[in-house]
Order: sequence, then structure tokens, then C-alpha cells
Amino acid sequence: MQTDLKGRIEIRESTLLNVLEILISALNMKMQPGDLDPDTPLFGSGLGLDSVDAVVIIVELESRFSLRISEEEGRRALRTVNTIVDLILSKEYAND
Amino acid sequence: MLMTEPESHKGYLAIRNSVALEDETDMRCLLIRGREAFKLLDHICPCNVFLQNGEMKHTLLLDDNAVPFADVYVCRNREDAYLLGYWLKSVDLIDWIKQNQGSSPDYSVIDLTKSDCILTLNGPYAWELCAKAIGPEILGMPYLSMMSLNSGTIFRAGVTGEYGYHLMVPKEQKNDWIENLINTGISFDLAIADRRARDQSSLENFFFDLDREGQYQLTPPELQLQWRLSRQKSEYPGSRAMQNLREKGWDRRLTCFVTKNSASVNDEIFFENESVGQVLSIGYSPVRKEFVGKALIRRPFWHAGLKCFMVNDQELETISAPAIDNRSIHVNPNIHSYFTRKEN
Repeated sequence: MQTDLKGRIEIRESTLLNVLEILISALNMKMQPGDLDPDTPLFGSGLGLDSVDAVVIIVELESRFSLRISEEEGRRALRTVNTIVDLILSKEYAND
Repeated sequence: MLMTEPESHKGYLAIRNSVALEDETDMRCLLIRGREAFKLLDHICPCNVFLQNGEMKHTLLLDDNAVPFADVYVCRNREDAYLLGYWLKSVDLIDWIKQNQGSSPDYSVIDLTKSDCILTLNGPYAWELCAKAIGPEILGMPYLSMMSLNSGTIFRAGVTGEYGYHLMVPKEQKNDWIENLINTGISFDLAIADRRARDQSSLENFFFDLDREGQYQLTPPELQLQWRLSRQKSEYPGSRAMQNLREKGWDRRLTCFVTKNSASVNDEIFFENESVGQVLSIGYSPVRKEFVGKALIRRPFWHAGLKCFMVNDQELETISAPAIDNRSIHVNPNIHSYFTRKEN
């Protein structure tokens, strides 16, 4: 496997794991990171979260990753676990 | 069948932009009633079925190998339960329930598909049309809830990522309902959608489809559907296979992808010269103006955000689901309307 692809996969995996741990901890979910698939919907079906949960998640993500998430960014990113990972990676790369 | 050509598709565009009506002949419904209806459901469903009146939950029914053969909502209407959804044509669900019912609970099953039909409205303004055609009480229905009507039942659910309502009405009233909805829908630019338009919408939103990826004998973790199961529940059909899978792990996963050119189902996906997976479904997305699909990709290549794969000598990029930013996410029934959409 090419080194740059290996590196990208490692970054994606570690960010995904961080996001899963934040979700599980912030929402007091009784599960392990492996129980939650990356494309699990967060609202409606899927985890069935509500607007209060959304605020909790945003606050936790901002705190843990030291970044600011606007309302519009939050609306677009809080669809699945993977879309949160996309947002964080895009902001981290933007800061590099 | 999915959309294969970059052509404008009226039903699909109505699902994405206004509202579309579909006569869902492949959706079925069982009514389970009796003192122990929910004891039965608790026995056969891999999720918790502690539902409030009017509440629905999206789950799967699994065979002994933990392979889903039914994609259903469990719904509570007082002491009665509905199993609403899709199951393989080869499966007689009532027979399967009898074989898996456990200690003979007190219940009876009625196949409502024989007496009723299901008309579905999907679209970012489906709520507004429903409120006008049926009544303003529709506006108060949360996602995954149901409500009895004077002559029928309405379920708020769907697989398009937009506002969705399934209307279950007696077959003899079907034509009257269609006429009413079409007449009310004229001012909403209502279009008739077919299975193809729904399938494409469902693919873009990464919904499970028994007729697509359901054909590959995949398990919930491979399908990214663990959320349809309760982690706390230990006994249900397929639970032993699920337990083994969780202990051993899995090495492949369904992943959403996009590509500029078409590919075929079962085409192999490569990283350099190494085969990393295969296409399970693909269709042209008029919103993205490229092809969207689901691929079964093996670890560690199964992540979203990788633009390094090839299919048929064309680039393929894995992406996070859903593949589109649904308009319904940005439409709020409290402040928006189809008639003022341009101002918004």
C-alpha cells in the first residue's frame, strides 16, 4: 500500500475513533465504538438524537478538537458519524 | 432498477424538490393483535420494541445466519402492532413468525396487504400537501410516528431522505385517494414517482434495499446497519450468528462511492493492481451529476474520503453517506412553504 494512502487511512481511522468515543461518552450510550457504524444516521432513524443532543455534540467536538463549528456547518455535518469526521478533517487540513 | 442515464426524471426531481406520489405495491403490512402481540415482537425483533402509542421503530428481521430478509418498521397503535415494510418475495412472513414465535403467545396476524394499499408521498414539501389534503394534524407528526385517519392510517417514514408519508387505505378507496392527492398536488407540482425514482433516492441516502444489497447475504455490520439492532438484546432469531460475528469481527463493509462514469453491479474495484472490493449497486444521480453507488470494500480500504480507486479504468471515490444534502433538512414546516420557496 502506498505510504500516503496508509497515512490517510490512519488519520481517518483515528479521527473516526475519537468521534465515536466522544459520541458514546457525551450521550451516555451503552456501547463500544465498534457497535456504531460510520454511516449511522444521527437524527430521525439511526441513533434518534434530538436538538439538545446536537448542542451537546457540537460543544464536545469544539472542545476536544479545538475548533469552531458554525450553525450551518453543524447542520450539514451532524448527519452521520462519517460526516462529522469529514468536517473535522476539513478543518484540520484548513489549519495546516 | 436504478437510474442509468443522465436524463431528467420527473418523479425523482419531484422527490428532491417538491413532492411525488407513488403507489407502493411492494410495501406490505401485517397487523398483529392480541394480548401478547408485543411479547411476540420482542421475541422476533432484534431491537427493543418498547414503543409509545403511535411510535415506530426501524428494524430488520434476520435469518439464523444474521442475514436480513425483511426491512420493517415496528409500529404501536394502542395494543396492536403493525409490521410495515419490505420482505423478500420468497418469504412467507406469517409462516416465519409462527415458526419463531417461542412459547405460543396469545396473538393473531392479519395480512393488511390483502385489503389495503399503500400510497406514499415523498418530498421536501410532502408535509404541506398532506396537511392540505388530510388535515393540519399531520404537521404535528414526528418522524417515525403513525396516526389513524377516518379511513386509513398514515405513517411518517420513508427511504428518500426527504419528508415521507405512507398512507395505508382500503383498496376500494384507492382511486378516490389518488384523485384527491393529485388534485391537491397540482399547486405543489406533484409528480407520479415510480420504483426507479424511489430506488435512486434511497441509494443516494444510503438506505438499505433488500432487492439490491439484500441479495448478497451480508450481515448488519457489513451493511452498516447495527443501529437497527439493540446491543443490549441477547435473544432473537440470528442472535447467535450476530454474537459470533461481534467476537470474530468482520473484514468488509458497504461503503458509499461516486464515479463520473457508469459501472456495472459486481464490477471489481482496484487500488493500483489490488482488488479491494466490488460494486453492489450504482445509479446516476441528477443532483450530483455523477454516478452514486454502494460498494463492498474490504478493510482497511473501507473508509470514506479516499480518492484512489479504479473501476473499469475510471476513478472511483469513497464518500460519507448520504451522498446528497437533502432539501428537507433545510425546510422547516413552521416557517417555510412550497409557495414561498423562492423567497426562502
